[in-house]
Amino acid sequence: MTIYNFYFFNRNGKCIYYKEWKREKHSGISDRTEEFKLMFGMLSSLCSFAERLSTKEGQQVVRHFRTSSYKLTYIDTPTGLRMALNTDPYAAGIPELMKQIYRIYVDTVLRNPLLDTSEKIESELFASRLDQVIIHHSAYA
Amino acid sequence: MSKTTKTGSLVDAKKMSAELFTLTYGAFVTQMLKDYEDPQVVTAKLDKIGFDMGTVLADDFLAKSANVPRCQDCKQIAEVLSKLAIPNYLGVPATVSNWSSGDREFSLIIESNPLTELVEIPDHLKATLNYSQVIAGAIRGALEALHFKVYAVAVENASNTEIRIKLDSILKDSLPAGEDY
Repeated sequence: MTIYNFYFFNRNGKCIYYKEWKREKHSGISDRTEEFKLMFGMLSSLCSFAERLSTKEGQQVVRHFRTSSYKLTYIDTPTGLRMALNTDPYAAGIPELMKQIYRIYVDTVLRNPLLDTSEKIESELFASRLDQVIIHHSAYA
Repeated sequence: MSKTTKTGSLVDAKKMSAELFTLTYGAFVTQMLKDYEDPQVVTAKLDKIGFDMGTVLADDFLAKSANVPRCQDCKQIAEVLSKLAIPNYLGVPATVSNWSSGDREFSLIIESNPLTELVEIPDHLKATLNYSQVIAGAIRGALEALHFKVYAVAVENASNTEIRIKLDSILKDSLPAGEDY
């Protein structure tokens, strides 16, 4: 079981945090910011597409998609933050882990009045706490 | 708005005494009145400060309370604000009343507003200064972060604080400009 990497977007679609724990293959896109843009675009298209195709009325929530070798778990908040976490396809308890990451973000970044929340997260406290929860999670090994 | 508590000893280390909070806020408003000299400007500034707090509180609230349903209309907004958000952050309950303009406008009545516990607003400021506008601003900010554009005004009544909220529109999720997804 493994946790691969993590993307965090703010409401304007800017990638405010990226971290990888294990990534053996790269996307081949030379510019990282380009990859972030594509990721964000894919996620928002996926959400709107899911809503369009829905056979029932009401809001659709995209939770994850899975391939033969990885699973991308996605959550968004009503405030427009979006997070995506890549794990191996059978990792369990990932949505809960992501809610925990959200709480860490609120505690360490949003509650610090001197940080500009529209910019990349530079907070070391956030980084170290994030590392802590990821490394101690049962899906990380 | 920080959490307030009224118990004297054995206080949760993260909570502060309501009195200290009230006095701090009072000193802060007084200083602003001296600095800006115009109570209307002070009201606007309080609203702005509240707004900035609100945008942060929205996430704080969501991260803490796991199972709040997504609000679709004003009734639900009023319910969550009065039953969860305000008791959570102000430590006092609020009641909803005075619905008007087709359920798009309502009042939140805060009976024992901690901000005004020690405050009597002098007559010459009554018309121009909305002492608790910071709360109204925070509500406006928090709801705007959740894509609801509202107008909020705090009015001091004789025995309570009334926050009048009017839903203007529901904002669309904004995608980065110039990018075609």
